Amino acid sequence: MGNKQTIFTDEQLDAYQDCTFFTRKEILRLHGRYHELAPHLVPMDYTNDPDVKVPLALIVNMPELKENPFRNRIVESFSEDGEGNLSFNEFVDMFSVLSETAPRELKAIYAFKIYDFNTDNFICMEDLEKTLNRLTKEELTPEEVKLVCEKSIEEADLDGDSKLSFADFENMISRAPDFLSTFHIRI
Amino acid sequence: MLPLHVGGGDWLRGQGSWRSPDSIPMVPLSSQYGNRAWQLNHEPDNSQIRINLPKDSSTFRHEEQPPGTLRMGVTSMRRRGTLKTGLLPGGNVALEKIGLTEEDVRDEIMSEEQDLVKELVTMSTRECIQAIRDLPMCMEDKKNIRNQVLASKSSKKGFLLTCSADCSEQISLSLRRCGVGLSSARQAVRLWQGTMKEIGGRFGTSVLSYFSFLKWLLMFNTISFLVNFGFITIPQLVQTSGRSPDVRFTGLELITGAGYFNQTVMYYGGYINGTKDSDFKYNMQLAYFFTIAAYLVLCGVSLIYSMARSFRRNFVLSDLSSGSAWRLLCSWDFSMVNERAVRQRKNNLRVQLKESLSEMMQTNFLPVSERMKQLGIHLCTWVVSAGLAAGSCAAIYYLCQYNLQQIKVSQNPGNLKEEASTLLLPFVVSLFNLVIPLLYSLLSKVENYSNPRFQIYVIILRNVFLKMSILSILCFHWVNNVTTNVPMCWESYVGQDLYRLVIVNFFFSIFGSFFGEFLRRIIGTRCMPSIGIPEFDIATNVLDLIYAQTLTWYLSSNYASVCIHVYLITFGIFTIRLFTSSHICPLFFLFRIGIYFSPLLPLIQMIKLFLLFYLKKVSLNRNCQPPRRSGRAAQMQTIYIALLFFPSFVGALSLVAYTVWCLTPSDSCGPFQGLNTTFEAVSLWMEDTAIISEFSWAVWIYSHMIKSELFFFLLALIFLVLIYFFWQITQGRKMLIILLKEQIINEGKDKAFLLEKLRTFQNLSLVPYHAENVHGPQYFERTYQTESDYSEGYQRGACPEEDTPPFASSALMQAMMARRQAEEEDEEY
Repeated sequence: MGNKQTIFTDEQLDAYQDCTFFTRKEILRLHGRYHELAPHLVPMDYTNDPDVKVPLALIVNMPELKENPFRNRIVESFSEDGEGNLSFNEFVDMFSVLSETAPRELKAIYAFKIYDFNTDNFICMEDLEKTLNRLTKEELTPEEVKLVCEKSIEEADLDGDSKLSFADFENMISRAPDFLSTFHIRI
Repeated sequence: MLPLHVGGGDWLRGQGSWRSPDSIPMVPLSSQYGNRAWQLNHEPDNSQIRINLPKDSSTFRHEEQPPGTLRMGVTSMRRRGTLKTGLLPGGNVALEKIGLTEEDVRDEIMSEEQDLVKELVTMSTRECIQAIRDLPMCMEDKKNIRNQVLASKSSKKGFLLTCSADCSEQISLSLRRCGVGLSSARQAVRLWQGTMKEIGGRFGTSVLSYFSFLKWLLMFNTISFLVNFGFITIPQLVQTSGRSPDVRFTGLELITGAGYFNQTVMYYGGYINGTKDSDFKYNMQLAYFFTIAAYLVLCGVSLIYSMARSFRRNFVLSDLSSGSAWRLLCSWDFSMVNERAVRQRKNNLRVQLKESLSEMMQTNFLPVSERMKQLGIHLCTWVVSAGLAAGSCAAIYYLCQYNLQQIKVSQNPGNLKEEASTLLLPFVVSLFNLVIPLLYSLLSKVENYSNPRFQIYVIILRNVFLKMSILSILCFHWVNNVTTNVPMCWESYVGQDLYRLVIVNFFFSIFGSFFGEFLRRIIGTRCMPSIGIPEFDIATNVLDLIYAQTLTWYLSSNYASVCIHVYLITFGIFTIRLFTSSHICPLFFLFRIGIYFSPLLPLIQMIKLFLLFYLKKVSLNRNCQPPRRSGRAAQMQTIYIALLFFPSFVGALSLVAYTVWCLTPSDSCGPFQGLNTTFEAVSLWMEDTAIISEFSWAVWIYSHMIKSELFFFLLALIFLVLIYFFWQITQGRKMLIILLKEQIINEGKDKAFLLEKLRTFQNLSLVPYHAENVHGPQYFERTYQTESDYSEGYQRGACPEEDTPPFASSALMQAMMARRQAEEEDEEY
């Protein structure tokens, strides 16, 4: 390889490589994808770290995220301002955590954030109900929804506070061997 | 203990003795200064909470594990990340309500960062980078920390000899760049990358696993082929470069494998043990024997390893796979991007949830007569399936005998019609392998299983039984009848048989996908729309693959690869319509059988796989829909690996052992001609080396360990004792797990209780000043680590229904409040 690119400096690329699970080529490719989202907004030259954020509406229209029922939550969990506007760093971070090589613990932390709709650091009944509604297109009756959520909490809650804390969630994840491969978005 | 007197611990349940005082973070805090901290602070015009706390704020820190130990260090770093990300967003307003300024929180976070950087600096570069990657912080912070770590590392090194430090730095940097370059180069040559992404997006991870399996098998066959080619075929080609076979090549050989191919390096018979006139002497016998033996050993070892690992991961720890919680939170496949597929998945999930809800409602009490009836039905179906298997075995055996008769009777070995008639046997075998499992799945519809998973297991078991019995009949035939009755090279004859089986199996899998998928789609959409579009039957296809692979191997069981392979493939094999769910063992078995008799089978397999990939992809895209049920793939994986091991590997191993130890190689062909048994080659070699005194240790090992029974007996005894020890250890650990689970529950209750108490006390002390603030609900987020490795706190009892603050005030913040209070009080006095 070794073709000269002018998007990032070498130090920047090294830093990206050290902080994410991507290689140089993948980071450049990600930059291309990021640029495609908003060509007029995103500069091609990132050597001086421009402060550019692509709004939520454009990001959730990416083909990788468009059909995902949790797309808004995913993008919001990775954005600093909580609104879903991602800078390039956050964009890379998001796909890095969702990549194949990210470890289970890291994925569990972010999965917990995604499912925690009201950001109170617990997955409580309302969070579960919202999750269920998104997963089933709201075709279950409210009683059924309530029943399923109660059963879930009963199964996973270890410490008896009728909510799922991160530890409960992590415990459940550790016993689900498929989690690593399902919590994965290819880009 | 605490000034908030816990009341004798009457609510502390269970094993109180294991609880160290450090497990409750509040303890060190208040134990420092008794009751003073909780006296009311009467500063009417100060809205801040005054807390008196010693400046040594490390007492309420949570780092109770020694810094620098990598594993604990990394997890504590992860927790620190959550501290930061959990606290700040939108928290300013609520912070002020509690009376802490943002600066306090920031200071706290800064000092934690410093600790983090210090820990990272002590690690090696690779570990450091891995740890940074694992931090759950945003990119800016990670870069920040990385820069700090690099700066402090280089400043540390600055005091040493700059030259050597510089050099080693450069070397490590260039090595890292090199490694990264290699991995990106590897990515560039990845075969079929785009296609697989597309398939994964449309059909999900489980179907994708089939294709990754296929790709893996291709790669594996390439390696197999290269190894065999290098050690066995090339020397042979070199040796016989002058000769040319005396039979003409006709097109039929591609299918029947006989004729022209007979005298080439394709089969065992084409190999001789001759030596060239020059000094180059290559002992083909030993090469043949040891290459294949090494394959077998490697396979066995990696199979056992893979099976054990898979079992531990998927069976021992996971018992939640069918629960609602799992289905809600862990089962959604994020990599699906196709709209139709996603819609499908949502429908399936809804159906599954409804099913499980209705199961919950139902009671499962059947009257005795019903149960007897069920039992009777089960018994009948088992008898019928065993009968079918036995029937097919008998048919195949008679066909084999008939073939042998034909060979004896035939005068003209090159007759086209006779060669074509040899295809009858593989045709019949493949037909049985296709049709009888269909019958089995029909049978299983008659039966009524309460547990769908159990149903799948039964189907798989029956299919495996069928395949194994067919294969064992074939092997029996080969070993007993062929060796004595075939006038020519019996090994080549067996090789040809296997070749034909492989080729015919390939054709059948093409037809299978045609009939199974294309026609079913036509029927399902045009003629009987109630059936609908077929699903991609992962199990069948995967097992087909393994089947073909089994056919190609014999002694060279790269078991490991197939295992690891099966490990990948069976991911997601959980479809209701497992209509030919187990070609698995026989195939695998045959594959491994093949390589002894025909070392070039991997090449054929490679070509086959390459074609199959495109075929299946086209068929998938046109004809199939994503599978309905997902999940429990990992457990099925383990089952398949275990199945591979027990019938297949053990069977092949015993067959190979029998061939090598007891059967006489044919006199007229092959590298082992003239010997009584194949193993004699090794004995002869050992006798030769006995003359050379330097290798007398090797001869001693051979004669006293490999040939003596006592040695193996002792070895077995030692292993049994070890197994017993490990079993006892696992029993002990099970008890420990139960105790720890209780400990977790109790500890949660402890903390909630204590935090509640703390809050009450603070409410009491703050009531004159913060009446409007303290009514706000407060969630306690605990972000420190304890023995039980928690990272979030509790809210005891009912959580208030009022608006929650945008962040959760942590126990840490409670502590900081207490500290403030103590400070103010100190100033007062």
